[in-house]
Amino acid sequence: MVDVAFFAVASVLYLGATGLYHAAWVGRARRWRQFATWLLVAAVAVHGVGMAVRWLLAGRPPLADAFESFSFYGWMLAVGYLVLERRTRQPGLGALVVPIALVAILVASFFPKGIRPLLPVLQSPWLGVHVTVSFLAYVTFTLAFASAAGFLWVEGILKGHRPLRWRRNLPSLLSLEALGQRLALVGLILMTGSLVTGALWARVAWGVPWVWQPQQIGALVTWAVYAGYLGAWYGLGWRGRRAAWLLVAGFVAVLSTFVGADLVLPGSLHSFLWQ
Amino acid sequence: MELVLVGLTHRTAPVAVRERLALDSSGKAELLRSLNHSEPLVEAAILSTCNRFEVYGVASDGEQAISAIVERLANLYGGSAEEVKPYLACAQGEAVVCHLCTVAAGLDSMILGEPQVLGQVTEAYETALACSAAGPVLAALFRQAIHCGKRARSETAISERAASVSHAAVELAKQIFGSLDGRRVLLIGAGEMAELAARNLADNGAGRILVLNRSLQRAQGLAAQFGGEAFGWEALAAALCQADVVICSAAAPHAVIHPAAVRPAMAARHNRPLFLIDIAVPRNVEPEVGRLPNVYLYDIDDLKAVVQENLEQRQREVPKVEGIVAECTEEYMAWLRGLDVAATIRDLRSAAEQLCADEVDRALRRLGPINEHQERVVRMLAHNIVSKLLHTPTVRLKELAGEGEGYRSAGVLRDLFGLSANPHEEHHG
Repeated sequence: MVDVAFFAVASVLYLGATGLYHAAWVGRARRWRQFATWLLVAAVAVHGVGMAVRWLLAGRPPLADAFESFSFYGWMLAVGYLVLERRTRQPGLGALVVPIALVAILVASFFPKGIRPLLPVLQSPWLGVHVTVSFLAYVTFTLAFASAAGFLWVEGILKGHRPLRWRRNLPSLLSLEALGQRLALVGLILMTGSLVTGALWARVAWGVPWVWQPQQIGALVTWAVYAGYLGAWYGLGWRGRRAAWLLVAGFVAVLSTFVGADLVLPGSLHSFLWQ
Repeated sequence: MELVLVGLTHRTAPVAVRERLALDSSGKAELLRSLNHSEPLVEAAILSTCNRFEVYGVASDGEQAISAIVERLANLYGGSAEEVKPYLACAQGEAVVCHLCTVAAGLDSMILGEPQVLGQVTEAYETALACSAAGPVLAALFRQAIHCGKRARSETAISERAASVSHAAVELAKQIFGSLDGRRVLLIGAGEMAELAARNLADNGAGRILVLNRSLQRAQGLAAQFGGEAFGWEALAAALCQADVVICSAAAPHAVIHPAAVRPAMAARHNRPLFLIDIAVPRNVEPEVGRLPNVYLYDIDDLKAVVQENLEQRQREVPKVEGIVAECTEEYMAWLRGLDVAATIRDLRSAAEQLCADEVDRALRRLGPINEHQERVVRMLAHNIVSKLLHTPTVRLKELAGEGEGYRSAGVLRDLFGLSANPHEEHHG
């Protein structure tokens, strides 16, 4: 249970990082923003060590049950956000993204944490590949959702002539929009990868690539929403609120694929998550 | 030795008085020289902006120095001392320090927190140094005030957010587009306000400027100023497709931009955001236009509300800035007290005695066992060397103090012996 201790420490660090990102958002001290970033880096590091330890203890990638899935998603989201923060140099989104990572970590903590042997059906090198690609797609879509939410918020302020007040570090509308679009594009490519690797693995494991089970349908719907978004962006010139709401819809599809399909419809082939 | 201040500001004197004291740089240099030769004054500096004319001085006698400065200012004003006195504000000692720090922080400016005043304080400092009018006391005072102004602006929001309508327009444009590099600006109507806003946008990187006016001639005149292009009224539809920021100030009896014109333009520009600034009264843009997607419409009242809100926010920062001013004042006063001759001698003596005691102890440890008499001789030797070495400087310093020049030497002495760090040097190397 050493890994769970790491997980617990990381949870506290995530909580602290969430608080600091919000403080940096509301307050004006530059120093806080830096503390927030460093605290998140520390959380990711401790969490990463915890997962590595669990991998060693279990002798398989820690991607198999509900605890491991949510924990991995939270970790990837935090890592993805840190990469984004480094590239865009705009820490504003942290106040939106880091809380989502924290929620994923909290959800994970409610599931049993014991290490169980892998179901025979999951014993395959495809596990690491398929799950990693899928989660990368989910994380990218989550970041796109955060950009869209930020866009809608700033847009509302500007459109409503509401005072900007202390919100002096808001990213500009166009930068948020461009960021959301690029992330959606990358996410769609990753999601395609998720569907393809899933089908390949299914053919090996079950003999058929596609069985129309809820999570597969959810993934397909998710894929379609983002494909539709990009089609509207390039083909119809959709910009602004309409386009941003499509990204929000896409995130709802991600959530229902990731959580909903199995929660609402137990017994599906992906529902090993909930055993 | 005392700090004095005599001056008038926008609060104490109307512009009709202030303008008679406006000096060019050679006039300032001349005044500084004449002030330096006025009896009790040993240092002087002038801070002159369109809102204030202030003389800072250091003198052995404050009251005398103030009347000497008032005399000079009356000469300059071309009247008697009694005539100018009602407009003048005088201060001595700590109040002078507090005032200059307040000014540098922007608290005493007409527009709270405006940034230019810090540059003007720096300029006053440099002029006074160049004319050799400012000595160590005023130089340190100005450095401390500049430091205070920088702290206020970086640690509080006193200078943040636009404080004028044209700056507010730029700020909003940046919030929409991010960088303004290469953004096209369309001026509809060639009013003065539009020109100001366009100039601000151009200064912030905006690219091409298009000017649209009923009279093509006036449009061409304005366009020439910005290196832009001029069009007649009929080009409105095409211009709306190209421009990112539109500033409307046409004198028209009714709206000239309707949703029916903007809708096709938005489609043609692939829904890139369009920022409309309507500073005309009556308004040039129908309010309905602002409801279209990706169109952001601000009229003059909206912009004024933004400025008002920003100024209120600055107002809320005042207590924080006052705290910084108080800290900076206290820091400077502590340094100034260090220039006191008696305290300097005391500090020098105690530092020397400490050094002496330490060295004697070390020597005795190395000597090993010696008798009491021998030890006393060693102690006496060290003590006598230190005392005799310090005797002449101490006497000289007391003599200088009697002549009113003691603080300069005390400052030098502190510097040479490293008795206490000068708080201002740390910040300004």
